[in-house]
Amino acid sequence: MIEAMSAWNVGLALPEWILTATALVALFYDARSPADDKKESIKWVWFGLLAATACVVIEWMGMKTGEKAWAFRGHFGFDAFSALLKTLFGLTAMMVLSIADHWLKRVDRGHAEFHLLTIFATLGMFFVCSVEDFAGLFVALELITISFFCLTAFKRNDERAIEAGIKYVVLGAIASSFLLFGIAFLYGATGSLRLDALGGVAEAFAHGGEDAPLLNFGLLLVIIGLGFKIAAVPFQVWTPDVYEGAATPVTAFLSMGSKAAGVTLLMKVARACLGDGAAGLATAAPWIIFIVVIAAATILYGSLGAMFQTNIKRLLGYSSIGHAGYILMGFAAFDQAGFAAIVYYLMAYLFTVIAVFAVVVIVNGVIRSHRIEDYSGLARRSPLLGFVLTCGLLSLAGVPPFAGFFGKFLVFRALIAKAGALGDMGPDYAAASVSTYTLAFIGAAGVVISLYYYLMVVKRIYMDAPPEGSEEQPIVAPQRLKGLLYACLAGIFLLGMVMGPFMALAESAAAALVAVH
Amino acid sequence: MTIHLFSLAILLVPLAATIRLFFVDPKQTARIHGIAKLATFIPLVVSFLMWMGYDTSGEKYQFVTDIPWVESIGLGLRLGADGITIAMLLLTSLVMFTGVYVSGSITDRVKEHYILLLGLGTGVFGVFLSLDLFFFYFFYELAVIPMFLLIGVWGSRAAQYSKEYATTKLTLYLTAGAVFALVGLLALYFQAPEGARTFDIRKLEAMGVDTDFQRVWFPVIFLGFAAIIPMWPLHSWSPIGHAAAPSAVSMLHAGVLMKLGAYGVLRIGYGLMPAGADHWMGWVALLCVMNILYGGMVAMAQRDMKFIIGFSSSSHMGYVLLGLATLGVTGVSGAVFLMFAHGIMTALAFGLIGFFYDQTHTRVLDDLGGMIKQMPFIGTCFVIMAMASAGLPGFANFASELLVIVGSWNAEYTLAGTSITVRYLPTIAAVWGLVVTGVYLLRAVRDAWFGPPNPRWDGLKDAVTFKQKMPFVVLILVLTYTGCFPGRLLDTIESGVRNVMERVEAAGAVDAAEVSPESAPDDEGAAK
Repeated sequence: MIEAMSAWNVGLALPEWILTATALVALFYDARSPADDKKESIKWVWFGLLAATACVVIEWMGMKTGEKAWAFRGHFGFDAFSALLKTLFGLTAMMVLSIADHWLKRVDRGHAEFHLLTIFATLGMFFVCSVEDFAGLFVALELITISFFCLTAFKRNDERAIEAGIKYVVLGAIASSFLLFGIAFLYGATGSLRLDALGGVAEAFAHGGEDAPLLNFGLLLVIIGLGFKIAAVPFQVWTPDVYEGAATPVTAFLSMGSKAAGVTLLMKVARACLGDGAAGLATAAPWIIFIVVIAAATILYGSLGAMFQTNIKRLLGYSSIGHAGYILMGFAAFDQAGFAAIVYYLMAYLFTVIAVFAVVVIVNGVIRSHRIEDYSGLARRSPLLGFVLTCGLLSLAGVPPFAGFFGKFLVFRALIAKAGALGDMGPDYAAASVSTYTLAFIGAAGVVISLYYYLMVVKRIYMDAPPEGSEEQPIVAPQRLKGLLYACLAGIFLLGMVMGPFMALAESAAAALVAVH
Repeated sequence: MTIHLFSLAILLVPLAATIRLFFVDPKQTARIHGIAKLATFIPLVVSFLMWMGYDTSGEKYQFVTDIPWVESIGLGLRLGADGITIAMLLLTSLVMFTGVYVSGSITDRVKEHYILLLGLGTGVFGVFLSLDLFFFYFFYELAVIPMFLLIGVWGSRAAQYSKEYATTKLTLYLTAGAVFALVGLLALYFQAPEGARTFDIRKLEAMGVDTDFQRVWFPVIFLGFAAIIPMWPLHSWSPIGHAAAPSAVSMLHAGVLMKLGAYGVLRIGYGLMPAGADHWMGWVALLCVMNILYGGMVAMAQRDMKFIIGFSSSSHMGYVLLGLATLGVTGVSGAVFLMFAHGIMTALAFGLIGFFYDQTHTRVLDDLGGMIKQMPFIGTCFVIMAMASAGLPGFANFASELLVIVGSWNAEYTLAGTSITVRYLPTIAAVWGLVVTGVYLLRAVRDAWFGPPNPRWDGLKDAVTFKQKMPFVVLILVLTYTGCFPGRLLDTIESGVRNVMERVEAAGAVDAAEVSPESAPDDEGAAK
């Protein structure tokens, strides 16, 4: 293994090479072509995304179970976990671009830039799945964040987009400095930037020791920095404003891609802090309680905040905060079941979120409004869009037979398993066990609250009459997006009803993550 | 992997019809009706065959289907039926079948209506058949969500409440109850040692559950299901929901959906946590008195017909709870039989109310009056329904309520956490409740059907065609047949109940032995 780690093995990063190369070629074509004809550049972006994703899948197929390959002298890893997530990110980018292609018809300039920024962000997401040290982690994350700075402010004539962009920049910069500061502390404690160096000192999280203050403080700052990306309390305030202000395809990309990247990194850091097996962080009662409290606060903030929204994008912003809370519930478990639950949650979330935002973009193209009121009678004006949006929202709420339900179910399952296990570990863990059980009940309450505000939208779609004078105006989904909608519907139903094969994928990813190398 | 055609067919036929309906042209209403009728008729036949084929002295669960679903976490599509299930399947398929005939008056978005109705049916059948904790929850939620849209789109205003308010309240209560119970179900899953964890109810029954665990978690699971039953004080969603729903949905809701809660208590609460049930159910005997009397009193004060039947339902579910709380075979069998009888009876009531409401557009007693002249058939059916509901001998309701009261008379209700033991009191209250029932039903019959005829209703049309009459006649025949000859159905129910109660009684015996070694439980006397 040492040999494998010391080799350069640059071919392993082929998907990343492809993305980089096509991005540069697209950039070149963009600079050469006239402002109103960017087809060539856009073609390259699509080609790059398709080829890179296909390449990931091929590499993944060629891998033996439990195998992990290394490149760049051990600074880049590739296993079932990174393969699955890279595929997800590739799919996300392609789905977002299909929505964007429809949306960009309303915008007269910047088509190529939009595609380029997306491919650069995707490149960052690919790296996020493979980083093995904090330096790589920071660079990959910044690549994503900076691309998103530009994307959120993409509508440069729109005040709200500018506001969203500035908010995102300022808060993002603060979060990045937290992250960097935390990395410095961890480096001070371990003397190494490698993630797995944390494994050697993981016991300190649970049992203290000389370096424990440094380690704990460093980890706290890192979690805060990453918490910004996934929109967890207390770094959630930007979410509704940025979601509302940014162009809708960007919002979709933020809520799936950017969040999933943060979650991936959190999983990698959490895994590193577990040490070998389930020691370290998994047995540190204060840390468990800390995550539990953040998760509970995030769930409540998201679901209570969403109840009073009148703008669908703001509603989805708050709902995205709530989902960060449910993902954190999986973290509170700190074990393989928890990681598998999170991975499944992300898979389900991808299809659901893309379906919802695709409908929002199509509807907005006709009614020119994001007010929930204006969704009245959508099912009459377009049965397909009404149905897809309803399925998507109910999947977000976590209702069977939709995908979101099984993701939530797995998270609850992992959490309650942890609560029971903590209860058996003696009086030192009693508080952690009780708080974990409490989180399960808070999560259950959150499901009911969130069901309420999603149902209020469903009520608009099916029960209310269309606004005056618009009964005769059907909303037609464009042919190209219909394919996307059907694909998302299929994903939502398959992941919610035929869980077996997808569960096997999620479990193999989680097993690869926690495996000891 | 085992597959039994019957249990799978009951689940798959409505599901297949739901999917089929997606691809039918919305304008072909005749075709849509045809599919819906067929998709509810087949389960009716199959559940009847299951009843006939059920061996009362055979295996506990029969007609077992077991398909592994997610093996790594012990999840499988496990279906099967015992005596209790059979009664519930018969009830559901009867109500579904008649419900489809009754909802012929729906003209707005017919296709969507039947898609949701059959989806709801799939969920309900799934809950009754599930032998897997996960799928129990899965199918339950599957039944709740279509309800939201069915009431919200095709419902009507309920007194001062809009249909949107009613349906939202109903959905949130039902989901809150279910999610609450889900936490309990997961705890139940994890109390098994690692490696033996499974959602399989049969395996969990065989493994047994730690007594202390049962005592802590039984209330969580019970309260989750109690919101669905609905037990006082968690009942307020139910009458409003009934009143706002369109006929077929009211029928299914009051007839079947409310039974899911009691069924969950029996299958999961009693089946997996017998010691917990033995410990806690004394309190339920007290709470259910509130259901019976309070529900009845509120029903007396109502002027809207659907509200009367709605509150009367929560009053009747009080008897079911009382029967469950007796912890004896007689009382619990009575409760299950009452679930069946009440389901048929309320389905009949809501079907009839829906029939005249389609024409009068009011259900308020003060506006009605003397309608028997225009609608002799519907009026007669309504009187029969009222008699059945009030507990007149000859109807299934009488037979089942009698069993509950007899079972309850001999039962002792120990209030957990105190040293108080209650006897007779809940039974006396329950008998008094029958009088209250009589008052509001007779009053409803008098004010709506008799008395001075209101000229507004001269143009009302009675049910004349076979299609219109058939559902009501079928339901009345079932009520009277099972009321006069309860033997066969009761044997089936009892064989299922006995299997469940054996374990509860064993747990009770252990409990009693701990407190005072001399006093042994004496429920056998009640059983005979």
